[in-house]
Amino acid sequence: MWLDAFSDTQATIYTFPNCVATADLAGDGDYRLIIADIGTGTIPSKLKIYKGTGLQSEVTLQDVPTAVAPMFIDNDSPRLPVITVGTSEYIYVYKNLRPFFRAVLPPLQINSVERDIWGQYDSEETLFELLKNLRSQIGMSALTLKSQHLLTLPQHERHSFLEAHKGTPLVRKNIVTCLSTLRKSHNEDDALACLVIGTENCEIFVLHPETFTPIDEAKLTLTDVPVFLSTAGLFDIDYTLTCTTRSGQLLIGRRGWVSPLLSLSKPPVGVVCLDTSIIVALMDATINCYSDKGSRLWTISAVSPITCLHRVQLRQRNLELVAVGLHNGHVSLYTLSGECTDTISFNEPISALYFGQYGRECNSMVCVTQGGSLHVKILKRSADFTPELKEKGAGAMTKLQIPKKTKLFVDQTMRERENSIVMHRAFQRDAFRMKLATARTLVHVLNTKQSPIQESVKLSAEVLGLGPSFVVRIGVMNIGPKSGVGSTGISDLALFFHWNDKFYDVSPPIIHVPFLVPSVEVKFQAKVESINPNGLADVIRVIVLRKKQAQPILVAMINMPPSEVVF
Amino acid sequence: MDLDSNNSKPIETTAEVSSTVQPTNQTTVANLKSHHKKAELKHPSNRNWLIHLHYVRREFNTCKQIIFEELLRLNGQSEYANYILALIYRSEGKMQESLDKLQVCHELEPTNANTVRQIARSLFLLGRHKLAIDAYQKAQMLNEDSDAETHYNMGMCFLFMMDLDKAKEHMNLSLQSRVTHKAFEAMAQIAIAKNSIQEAIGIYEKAVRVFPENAEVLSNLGVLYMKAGRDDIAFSRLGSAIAFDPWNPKATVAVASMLQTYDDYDQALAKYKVVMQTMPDSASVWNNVGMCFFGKRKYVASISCLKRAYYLSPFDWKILHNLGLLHLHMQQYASAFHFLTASINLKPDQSHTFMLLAVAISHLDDVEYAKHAYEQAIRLNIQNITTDPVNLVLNYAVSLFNHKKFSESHQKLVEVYNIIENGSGVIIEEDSKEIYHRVKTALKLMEFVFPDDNDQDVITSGAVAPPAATIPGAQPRKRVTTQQSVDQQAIGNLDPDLV
Repeated sequence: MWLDAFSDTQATIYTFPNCVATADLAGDGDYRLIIADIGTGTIPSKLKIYKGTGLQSEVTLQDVPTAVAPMFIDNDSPRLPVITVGTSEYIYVYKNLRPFFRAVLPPLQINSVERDIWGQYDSEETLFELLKNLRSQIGMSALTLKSQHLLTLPQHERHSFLEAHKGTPLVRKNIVTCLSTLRKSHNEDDALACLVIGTENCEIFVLHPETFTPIDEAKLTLTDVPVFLSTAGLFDIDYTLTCTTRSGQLLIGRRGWVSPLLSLSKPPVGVVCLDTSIIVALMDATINCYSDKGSRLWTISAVSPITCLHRVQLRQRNLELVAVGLHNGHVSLYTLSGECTDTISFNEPISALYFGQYGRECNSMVCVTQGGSLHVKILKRSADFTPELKEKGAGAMTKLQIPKKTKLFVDQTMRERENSIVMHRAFQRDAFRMKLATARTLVHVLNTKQSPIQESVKLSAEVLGLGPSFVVRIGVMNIGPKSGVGSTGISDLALFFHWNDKFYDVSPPIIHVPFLVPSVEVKFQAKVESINPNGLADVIRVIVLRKKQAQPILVAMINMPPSEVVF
Repeated sequence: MDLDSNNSKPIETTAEVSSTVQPTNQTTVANLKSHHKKAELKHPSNRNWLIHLHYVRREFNTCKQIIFEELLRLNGQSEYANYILALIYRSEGKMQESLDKLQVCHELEPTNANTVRQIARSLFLLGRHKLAIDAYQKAQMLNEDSDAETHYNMGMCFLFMMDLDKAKEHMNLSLQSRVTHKAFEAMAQIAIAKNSIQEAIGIYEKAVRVFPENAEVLSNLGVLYMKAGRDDIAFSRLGSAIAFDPWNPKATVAVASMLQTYDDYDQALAKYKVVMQTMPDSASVWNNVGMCFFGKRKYVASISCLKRAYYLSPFDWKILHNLGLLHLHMQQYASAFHFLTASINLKPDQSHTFMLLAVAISHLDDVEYAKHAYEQAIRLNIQNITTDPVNLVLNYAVSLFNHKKFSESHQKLVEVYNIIENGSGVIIEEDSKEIYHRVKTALKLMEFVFPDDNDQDVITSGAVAPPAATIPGAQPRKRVTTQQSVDQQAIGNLDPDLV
């Protein structure tokens, strides 16, 4: 259904759907692709302009771009659009790909207490403390930039900071979070438009197209930070702003008036506003369609997390679709009733999607993947978007998967049927024997002190060397009944070796252990000589004895390795 | 850049912007350290939008990387970066770290009610319900308007603390400010916790009036009606739940289990097939499917299904009980013994399991242990009647008869007679009667005396004894007829739990 127009896997673009647009920048009917590349720590942010199958030009940006919006800001002809780029508190305007001017968002009001603190502080400590107190009352974001920076600094850097910024005035800046355009008085593609801006301070401004100053009567104040913004209508007549916030509220705004339409269960990933309905993709990989009254029309879930959503308008066919970019690299096209009509797959997660005119082709899809490659696809003229009829009951027809049984199973069943009494008795007898064997082993272990169940001494042994001479290193530790506080030392212990004299010769055969302090390991060494001519291995027992007591405290067995044979 | 740009008038700064060749805006650490020496201060929250976008797209690794860069730049004092980091930690299951980050957020923005709510949520997830309630109350103080969500969450806290009255109060408040089906469901849960199914049904009925198309509410209501024994209403509610959501597993399983209890195995199996599409790993569904096949006398398929159920849920005594029953039926007494003992080990108070175990042991030729098992079954049945006492004692009698303990068998048979005599309303199955009469006749031949010899035969009076040919698998040997009675039990004992 799609033709590959052009793709560049080395483009290394890091961008978001808000930062991709197309516009007829030269006025020649050849639409250019505008991508604002966010860049990383080492690569600066850039505005990239693509024409045809290649990069036409690049403009380095001052700061990380939040959104781009091509728009017409004058009535001159030929009609040439400008590119507006929102970056932190500025709106940069580029005309003919050259910087034209920049506008600043209006600064926010400064708290009077804070102004007083800065006006009459006597020492750095008191200034810091006062600001800290103020922060705990009104919050970090209500302070000026200078105070915010001062509060984040460690003590030794504060002085130099204050010196460096002695003369700078106190300001509270606003930050752009999203951009959109709204046509002013004519509903044509190249009509004069106003810029609509959402800010970090939970406001929405409409800027005057010529002066770029906020129009006061159109300012909206929200309860949360706007993330996605879309517009409909004309500014001079009547218009609607649809906006979602970070916490997942969907708001409808008009001139100087805003009201929540509904709150979404999860924060949205993308929003597409249509004439009478709103399609929202949520963080939980569902696509939901709501009517403009706020009732849910349908919901479907995607196979993997959704990364972006874009409206697809096919004007010649009078058809509207929604393109959904997924984390598994698919771009799916859905009709407005929620049926999937087509899927394009890429080999990387989708990062940004755009559908619109590029070059002279009005149905182009631009897709940027997470790895930074850029793909442009053109819709075939013969493309058919009628959704396939899905059989609802198709799933129920599948047979129940019952695990099959083999002939062996049947044979065993027959055998059991005939001999069940014998089998049962054999099992009972063996079960009793096993219990008996377990009990006997336990008694044996307890009697020969092989298990350190209630003992207060821990033994560890290691064998060094390849043979025929070995060194056995024994570590003894007093772990006490309550090891740690309150446990006492142990004295009068001895290590005793027990070995087969056909295999080994051990010296010394007995080691006297000094007074053992709790939780300290004491190490001893014994020399073991293998006297077996074939180098066969055997077991050496280490017995821990208390003096004048026949019962051993602990017995450990050392499995000796086979010895090297000396010729 | 110069600083006079903070007046709101647009200024023609063409020259300034064109000097973009110099590589500013590099967020390397070295630059960050010396950053405050520059004239212009960077806004602390100018990358919040970026963090947010990565977060909602679930690109948590990239998101964390940016957050750590931001935290380094701002000495950890960025409210939004910490907030998102806390949410990511929570989704990774690191509850305590998440809570710590949220505390930092709260310190930075003490007036933000949302942070307090998230702190409460973290405390709730950590199981510290008391503290969570305090935090929610604080959030309410910061945000004056009555909030349905906060009340609902507080209600859930109280529910977990088993303070049902307080929980109910908060759920009511939540419903007053906004009607949600979640709150209704919590109310119903409270009612069920108070052992009042009728009240829960009432709450769900109210919820259905508000949300007539919510399949979840409808199916819950249907299941409650089932528990209350109102199968007709339950069926209609579950039917409408399925009409709105044909794939709703809960409603489908409930309907299928209902069909199964009314012996409509084919329909039930068709429903289970649908459910299997969505939940192929449910031990209960496999168990029920197995018992459906058992009802249809397809024993190999039945064993297969039950074994899968057992594999999925090895500690479910019901599955083990059914497996035991099935093996008993397949005359695999040694296997039956193992499954039944396993079931008893998990749930030692079921007299029916003990009866089956007794039958198994009796076939394994160990009459003394069989007697112990029967005695235990009778003891448990006195405390909590789950097994038909006639069948229990009759099985006991047959087992004793099979082991040639005729006088004890006679005693037990007299006991059966007494039970039937005393409990007038007892319905006795045809097969049980048949067996009773066979054992009796056999014992009479050995000249044992029965109390009902003289009067009209109590048991057969009224009902004509069915002709032998109609009884499936009727055998002349008593041994096999015992099986028959067990078989009857078996079908009566389908496992309709899981709902």
